[in-house]
Amino acid sequence: MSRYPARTLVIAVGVGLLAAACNASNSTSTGNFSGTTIRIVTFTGPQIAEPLQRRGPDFEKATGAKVQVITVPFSDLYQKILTDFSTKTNSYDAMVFDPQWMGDYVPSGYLEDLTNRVQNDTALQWNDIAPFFRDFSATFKGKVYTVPLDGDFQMVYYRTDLLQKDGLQPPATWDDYISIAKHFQGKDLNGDGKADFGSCWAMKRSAQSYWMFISVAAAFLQSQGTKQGSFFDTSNMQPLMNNAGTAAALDIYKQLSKLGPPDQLNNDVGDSRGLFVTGRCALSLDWGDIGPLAVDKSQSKVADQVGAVILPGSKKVLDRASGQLVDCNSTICPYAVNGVNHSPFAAFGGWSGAINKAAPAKTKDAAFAFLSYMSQPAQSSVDVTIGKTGFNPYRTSHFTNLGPWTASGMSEKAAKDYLGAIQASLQSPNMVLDMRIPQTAFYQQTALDTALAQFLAGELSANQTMAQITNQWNSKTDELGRQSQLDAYKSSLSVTK
Amino acid sequence: MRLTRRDRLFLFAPLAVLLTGWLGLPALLGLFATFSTYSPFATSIHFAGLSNYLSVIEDRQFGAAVRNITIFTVVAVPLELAIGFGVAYLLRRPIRGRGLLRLLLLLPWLVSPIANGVMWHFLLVGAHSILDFAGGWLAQSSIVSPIGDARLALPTIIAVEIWREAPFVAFLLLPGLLAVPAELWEHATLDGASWIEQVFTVALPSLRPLLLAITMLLVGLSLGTFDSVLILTGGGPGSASVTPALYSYNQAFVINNWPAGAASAWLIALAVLGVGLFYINLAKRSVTR
Repeated sequence: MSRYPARTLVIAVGVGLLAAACNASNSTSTGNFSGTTIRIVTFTGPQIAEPLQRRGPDFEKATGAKVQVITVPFSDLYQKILTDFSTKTNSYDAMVFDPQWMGDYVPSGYLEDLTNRVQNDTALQWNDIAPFFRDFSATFKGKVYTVPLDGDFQMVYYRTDLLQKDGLQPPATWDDYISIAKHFQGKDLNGDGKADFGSCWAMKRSAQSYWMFISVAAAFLQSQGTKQGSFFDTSNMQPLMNNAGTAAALDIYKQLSKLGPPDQLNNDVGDSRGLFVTGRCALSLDWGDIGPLAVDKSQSKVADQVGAVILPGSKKVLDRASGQLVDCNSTICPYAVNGVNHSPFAAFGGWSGAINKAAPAKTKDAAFAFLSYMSQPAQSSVDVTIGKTGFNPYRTSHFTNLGPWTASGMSEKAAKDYLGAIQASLQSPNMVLDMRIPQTAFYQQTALDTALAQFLAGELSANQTMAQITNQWNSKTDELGRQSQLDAYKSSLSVTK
Repeated sequence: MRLTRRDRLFLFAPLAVLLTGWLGLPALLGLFATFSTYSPFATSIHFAGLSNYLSVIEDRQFGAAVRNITIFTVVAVPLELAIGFGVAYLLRRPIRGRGLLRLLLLLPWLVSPIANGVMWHFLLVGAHSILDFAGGWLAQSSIVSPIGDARLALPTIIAVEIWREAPFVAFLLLPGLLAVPAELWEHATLDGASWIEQVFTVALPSLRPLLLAITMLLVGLSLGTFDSVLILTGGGPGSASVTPALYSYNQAFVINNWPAGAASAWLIALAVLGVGLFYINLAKRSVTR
């Protein structure tokens, strides 16, 4: 999601250009596209748009295709693209967007099926992309519609120096997390003589806080693999928001709202990141962004003192039949580690590139070649180390190849810690796919976000919060058609039965 | 020289074209949308009657927004007028640098509401906020940002809005005060009137039409409060600072429910229209007297 500049940008750009020049000559996805202009739309940025704009001229030199990056504010992006499709204006040949929107774009037939293209493009190295992003994030109903350019999922960050000093292990469960946060709350963690915080989260309304809550709830709600889903029962589209699992998550969420800065309810990710890298928090929850930010010594006071772990889990998970929590065992939690069910959450899903089905054939070829070029390891392995790009790792090679990370300023140990957490998450068969059904924005950004904000502010009790979310989700589902929403949900999870 | 009907038409035509194309038509389209299931990408559109209005009115979030904006308007507008008038009154006598001060009065107003929100966010929130520094000076670990507290979020937004609007009110009132004939002040002084009596017997009666217009302007602006709230609190914590305009924005541009967004926008427009009609009525009465 939101990204920050890294001080190594200039060096990394140089390395990237060199790598691009080397790669362009042997890439199988490039060709002669002279005279072709690819109009590609994404959000204003500077994140996400920056690498597209920076690498466009290199691509043009290699293929002759001109890349025109059109940017619009994030709040307008969804509608701009959809309006362009539905009115058949077709002013965009390709788009880099939130893959959650595939739930609206794919069923209407607006996106080009890329299945054959990704399989035939050897330079893309499709199988190097982590299975979750390849098989779920980029895929809808078994067909590939996007090329992943970013690997968004959430992790827990902790201060290695503090935990080591006090003989504490990184949190494996949410109970551990609470316990560590309580241990450090109110202590001076950065030597400035002021009391600091056990945990710093983004909990602001109308921002990104609902994703943080899902990261907690998923540990209780999904235990049998990505296809099980975390939001609805895949047999009847009943929300999984009113049960003992969600109640447990709400309890943790409420506790965490009090184990951080006193104004945490109005903190967005920029605020929580700022607090963490200035050494004021022992723990935090975030996308991959804190890793590159923490090594940026121009703003970080915790360089080489930051570790990352897979999202904490739970030893109890929801039994969907009874609505109660039950102890994990090999049947209920087949992917548990040491009896703990981890459900790493691919919040947002990572910026992905898609192609307008109505674009001219040659332009579609050129657009795919450009998306492939951006995703190929030579380019992406550098881009994911630069905070300003907004791209986080999503390929196996991104965490096996430490070179670009150490070149970016990260020590080998910090890189291994950071990438280890990424690897553990990427390899989890129980990763949670973000919601991808028609009007997802209503389900998450309105119903869930509002109820959570009211819950944290004390306007609603836990039971009222669960009832409100469930009622609003059910009303929307019935309004849009329960069966069609269920079909869309199952399609997003690639559930065929 | 009297303008003929043709002259007037000629002079008004460019404005009429602009308003029709860029205000009238979109507003009318929005109005039609409120009675339908319209959205720019809907495959079919159905007549929805008043259901969009009913769903907005029945929504508790909209109720909270109406409550908040009522408090906001009732508190902010009188304070903006009082502070603005006070500053203008102090500046009515020639002092050195008055021209520069008049210019400075405009500065908060010239800062865009979004930039204003961002600026106050940095001043009030985070590890480098002014509150954090203040906490350091006072040997406190930290001072809680008021916008993170459900009880203080709305009062803080009101204060931020007063910071922005009150100097502008002073800027608008100052020429009015300077235009008050010098004899009126002299007569009041000779009659032994105190400064507060001069305010009520000389300044306020002279400024009445201007004050009325500014009041209506401030009420209209208050009812549409949006940008600074979006940046500062996003409507939270909970529902503590949500406003009707923010509600409308969220409906239209976050969840893409255009009819509900347009319906709530039209409810705001009706409220502003009511204020406008009230103003016209009062202004007519002033002229008649």
